Amino acid sequence: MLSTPPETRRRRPGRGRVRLALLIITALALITIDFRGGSAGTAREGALDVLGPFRSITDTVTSPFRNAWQGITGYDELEEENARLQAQLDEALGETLEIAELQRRLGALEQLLDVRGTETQVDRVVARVIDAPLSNFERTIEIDRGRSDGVAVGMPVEAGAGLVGRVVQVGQSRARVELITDAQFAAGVRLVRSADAGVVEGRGAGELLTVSFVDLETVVVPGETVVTSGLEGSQFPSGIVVGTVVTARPDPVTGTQEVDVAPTADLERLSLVQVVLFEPTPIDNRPVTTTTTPTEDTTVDDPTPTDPEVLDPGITEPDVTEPTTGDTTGSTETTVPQVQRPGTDGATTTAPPTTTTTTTAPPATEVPVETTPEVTEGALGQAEPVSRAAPTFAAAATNMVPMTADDFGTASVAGRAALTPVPLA
Amino acid sequence: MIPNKVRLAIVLFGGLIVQAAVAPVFAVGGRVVDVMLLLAITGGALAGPDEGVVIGFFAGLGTDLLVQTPFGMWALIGCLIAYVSGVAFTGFFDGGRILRVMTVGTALAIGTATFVLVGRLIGQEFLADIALIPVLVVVCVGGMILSPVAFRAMAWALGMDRLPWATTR
Repeated sequence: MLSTPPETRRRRPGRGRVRLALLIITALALITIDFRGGSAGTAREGALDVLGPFRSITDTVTSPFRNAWQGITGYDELEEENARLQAQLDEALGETLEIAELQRRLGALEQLLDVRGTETQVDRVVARVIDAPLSNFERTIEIDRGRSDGVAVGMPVEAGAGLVGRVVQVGQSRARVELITDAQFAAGVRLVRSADAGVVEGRGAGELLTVSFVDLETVVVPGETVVTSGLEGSQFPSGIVVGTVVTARPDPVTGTQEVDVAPTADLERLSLVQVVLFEPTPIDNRPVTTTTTPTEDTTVDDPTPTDPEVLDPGITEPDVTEPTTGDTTGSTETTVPQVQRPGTDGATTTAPPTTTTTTTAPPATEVPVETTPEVTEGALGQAEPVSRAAPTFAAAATNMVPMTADDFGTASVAGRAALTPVPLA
Repeated sequence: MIPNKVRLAIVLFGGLIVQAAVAPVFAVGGRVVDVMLLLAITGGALAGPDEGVVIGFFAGLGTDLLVQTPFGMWALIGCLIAYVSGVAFTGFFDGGRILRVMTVGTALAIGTATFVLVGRLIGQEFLADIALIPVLVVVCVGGMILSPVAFRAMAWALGMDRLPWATTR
């Protein structure tokens, strides 16, 4: 026997379909508006602020249940993790002294070469994680710091062990962080041992990260550390630990390697994180102009600008201006192209220059030792004049994490362009 | 006497809070129950396809406020699944509790899978990388467990004294 249908069911036939069609059209319109950069972000930020107090209260109330639930579902994991962490702690205690010595040596070298480390100068804000991922299709957490604390969209978030994610939404006193395991996450990274660059992407909850576009000839060692590359235009400073290599496999389609990486940060049990108040430098598409004036004022003041030429929809590569010797006295102007690849860090990332700066040497007798080339603009991201040898080293240092000279020497093809070893003497 | 529209707003807002604050607490392997999709389905089942599409739309819109996928995607799924649920439940009121719960579970699975499908159609390629089976298991099992509560909440929101199938017992 059928039950009596509710009163609301007694409608004219077809009315529901019309309403459904109208709502589908409305939903599609909303999607289109959002794709075109509509104001959905504002609505979401408002929801973040409105729901914030409710979530804080609920978080406080449910925290005993959450702890109990995690104890039930993850007791074995917690035991294993405890043992593993104890072993790591013992190991870390020994490494701390070694790292301190390496940092001291690195600082001395940077001071000697007048190189400023980028990651050490970035302020951080400690935040408490007040929410766990709330969707099955994205990996986000909520933190109790927002716009009033200086947090902005795009800023990296890290835990003690490494990168956690980046800020994707900011309210007045709260922010939402996209975890690195989110399938939409992508960032420019570098393998520390080989210095080869790639793009790390998330693959969802409980899955390893994948680093793509690693050179096929690069020897990737399991356990190798992966850090953010910090290339120009990247939304992350260099040197933040992302994870460690698990496996590597060739990708026959792209002719590169795909590397599986395990995040070092425990994303399932985050309680405190740090927001790195890092604002990425805007990408400079203009060509680098290096002008040398060894003897006379023969600098070419009007360098020929070059417009990028689209090679394919995904890669933009500017023209390469042939080195133009100004005159016989040795004035030289060289354009260094930059290759832009979309998709890294959610923004265009400038890959290492594919053509290194070439300088036409003037007659040896006319080159004084104290010649000071002027680096006017460029991929090196340095405005101040540097020595002749400094540009290439500075390029390395901009992306640098503590590495030995051997690391520079074993740089892959992609890395070598920017990390050309230069004799320090 | 609280108007039904206000009741409905209260239930949807409450569902939003549960989705945002409570559901993550009981996540299994990082997967959470989809409370708003459950409310869309129960809304469609109790109000019928005509009114259900509106409930589903706003339930989905609530989810859109919480997540980073294109705004309106969940609203689209919500109204679609509420309509389907409204049509399907018309014949299942006397089918017994198990059949009703199974219907809710099936609707949750269809809604979740449709979200992935629609997402891929509009260029959300990252959805292809997500392991869908574990998500479906958690969403369906969790939703079926919570469905009696969701039905009662939605019945209150629609001003029903009792659930439609209560008279058949």
